[in-house]
Amino acid sequence: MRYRTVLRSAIVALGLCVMQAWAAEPIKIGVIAATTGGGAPWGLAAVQAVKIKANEVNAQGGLDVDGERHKVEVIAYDDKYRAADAVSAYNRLVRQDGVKYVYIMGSSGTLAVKNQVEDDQVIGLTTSFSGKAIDADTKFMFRVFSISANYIPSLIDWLKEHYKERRVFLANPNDETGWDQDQLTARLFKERGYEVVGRDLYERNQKDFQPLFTKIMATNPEIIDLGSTSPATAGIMIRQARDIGFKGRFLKTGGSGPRDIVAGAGKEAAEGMISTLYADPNNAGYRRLANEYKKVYGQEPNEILIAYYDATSILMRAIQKAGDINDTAKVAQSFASVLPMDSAQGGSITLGGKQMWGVDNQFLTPMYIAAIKDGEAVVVGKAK
Amino acid sequence: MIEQIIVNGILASLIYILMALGFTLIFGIMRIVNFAHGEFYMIGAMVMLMLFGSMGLPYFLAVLLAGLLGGLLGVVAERLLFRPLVGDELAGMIMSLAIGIILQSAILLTFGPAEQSVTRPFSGTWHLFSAAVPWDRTVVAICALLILVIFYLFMKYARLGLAMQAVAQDPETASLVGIEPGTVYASAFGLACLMAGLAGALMAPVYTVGPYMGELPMLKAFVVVILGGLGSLPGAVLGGLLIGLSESVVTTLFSSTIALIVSFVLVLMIVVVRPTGLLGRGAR
Repeated sequence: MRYRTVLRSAIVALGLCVMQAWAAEPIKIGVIAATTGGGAPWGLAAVQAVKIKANEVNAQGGLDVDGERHKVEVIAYDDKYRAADAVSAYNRLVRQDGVKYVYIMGSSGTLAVKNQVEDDQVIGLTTSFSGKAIDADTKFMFRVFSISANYIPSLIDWLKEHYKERRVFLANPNDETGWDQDQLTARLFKERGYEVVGRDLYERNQKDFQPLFTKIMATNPEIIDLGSTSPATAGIMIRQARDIGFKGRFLKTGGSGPRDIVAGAGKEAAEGMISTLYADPNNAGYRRLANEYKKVYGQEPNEILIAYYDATSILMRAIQKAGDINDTAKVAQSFASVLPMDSAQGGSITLGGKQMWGVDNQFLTPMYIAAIKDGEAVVVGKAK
Repeated sequence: MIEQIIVNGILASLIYILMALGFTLIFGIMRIVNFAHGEFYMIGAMVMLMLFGSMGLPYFLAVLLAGLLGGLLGVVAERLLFRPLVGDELAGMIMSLAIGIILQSAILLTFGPAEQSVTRPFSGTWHLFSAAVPWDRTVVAICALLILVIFYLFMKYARLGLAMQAVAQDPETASLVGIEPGTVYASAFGLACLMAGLAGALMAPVYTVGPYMGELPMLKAFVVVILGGLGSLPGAVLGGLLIGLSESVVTTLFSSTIALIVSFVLVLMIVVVRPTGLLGRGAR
C-alpha cells in the first residue's frame, strides 16, 4: 500500500516536472524549403536535419536558456523554389505561427524576404548561393555554409592541377541562383586560364535537354559545368548529353547530391563527374545523421543535411548565450562568441564573410571535392 | 546540326501530339477543358514506376497496363464527376483543376515528393545522317506513331469513333440518329486519358517521375491545341509539330527561355489573327 503511494507520488512529481519544462515558451524554428520538385533532395534534408537536432534537444528536456527549459518546435513549409511561395511561407511563419528563427533554402526566396527579415528582426538562416543574400547592412540574415564564391576558386585550382581539359561550357537554371552561379563561375574560370566556350540558362521545370546539348556540342566543350542545377535534373541532363554524344567531363560547381545524379544518369554516364560535397559520406558523425534521415525517408539524404544540422546546433548555442529566446538582436550578436565550433563531422566552423560581403554573417564550413567512381561519390580532395 | 535539330523537334512533337489529341478530344466532344490531363500523364508514369521499375514486369506490358489504368480512371472520373457538367465550360474547368490537385496530392502522399528514376529499358544511340538518336526515345517515337495511327483508324472507321465525331460536330443531331451521348462521353474521356497514361508511361524511363511531372506536358498540350484549334484533331497534330520543331530550333539557336516566349507569341498571334486556331472550327 505504502509502496503504491510512493510510486504514485513519484509519477505525479515526474509529470509536474515535465509539464513545467514544457510550460516554458517553445523555441519555434521555421524552415522554408523546396520539399517537392527537383530541389526536394535538398529541401527534405534541410527540414529533417533541423528536426533531428530539435528532437535531440527535446529528448534532453528542452533547451536550457537562463535556467528555463524550452521545447524546440519545427514548422516547415514548401516554397517549391519559388520566391512568391517563400514570401507566403515567411509571412505565415512570422505573422501567424510566431516564429523568430527562419531557415530559407533558395536564393530567390531569400532575396524576396531579405528586407522583411531585417525589419521584423527575425533571425534568417539561409543557404542561398547568391552574393546579394548578405551585405554590409545585414544584421539578422546569416548564411549557414560556405558557398560557391568561397570554395569555387580552390575547386577550379584543384581541377586545373588534376585534369588537362580547358574548354568549359556553363549551364545553369534561369533564376537568381543560376544567374549568380553563371556570372561567378564564368569570371573564375576565365581568371584561371580556362576558355568559357558558351553559357546557357535553362528553365527549372525543363526536362528535354536534347536541343540544349545540340547547341552545347556545337561549341566542342571538354567540360560541362552544371552549376546550381538540382541533383535530379542534373542526372537527366548527363544522361541526355551522353546520348547525344558528349564524351567529356561533367562538373558541378554548385549544390551537391551525387546519389540523385547517379540515379538519374546511370552509373556509366556519371562516371568521372566532379562535384563538391558538404559532407564526407563515410564520416562517422555524418553517418549517424544520415541513418536518422533514412529511418524517416528510407533513402540516403542529400549531404546538405550536415549544414542544417550544424547550423541548428550553432543557433541553439547562440540562443543559450543570449539568455533570452525572444531577444533576436542579442542572439544575432551571440553567433560571434559561439563560433568557432566543431561540425558534427569534425572540422571547425568559423564565422566570416566581411572581406567578401562586408559583414561577418557567414558560417564557413568544411567542403569536400568528390569524384563519381562506379556510381559512388569518393572524396578526392578538400576545398578551402 | 540541322538534322539533329529536326530529330529533336520531331521526337518532342510526337509526345506533344499524343497529349494534345486527348486534351482536344475531350473539349471537342464534351466542351470541357480538362486541366487534369497532365495528372493522367503522371499517373501513367507512376504506374510504370511500380510495374516496370519495382515489380519488373515486361516493358511493353507495363506501358499497356499503365495506359489502361489511366483510361479506366478517366472513365470513372467522367461518369462520376464530369458527366453532370457536360457543356458547362467553367464548371468543368474548375472540376478538372480540383481533380488535378487531388491526384497530385494522392501521389505525393503515396510516393513522396522526390523525383524518382525508372530503369531504362533501352540504352545507346543510333545515327540518322549526322543526328544521334537515343534508342529509348526511338522506341517512344515508334510507339507514339503506332498509337496515333491506331487512333486515326479508330476515329475514321470504328463505329464508336464515328459516333464521337458525330457528337463533336452536332450532339443533338447525333442523338436523333440513335447515338447515345453518355457512352460517347465516357469512351472519349477514357480514350483521352488512355493516351495521356500511355504518354506518361512511355516517357517515365526517359525523364524522372514525380507528383508534379504532369504540369509541363499539360501546359504544352494546352499551347498545342490553342495553336491548332481547340477541339480539332488534325489541328493538334499540326500544332504539336509546329511547337516541337520551333522549340527545337529556337532552343538550339538561342535559349529555352526564348523558345518558351516564341511558343506563347505564336499562340498570341493565332488568337489575334485566327481565334479558332489554325484548323479549328467556329463556336458550336
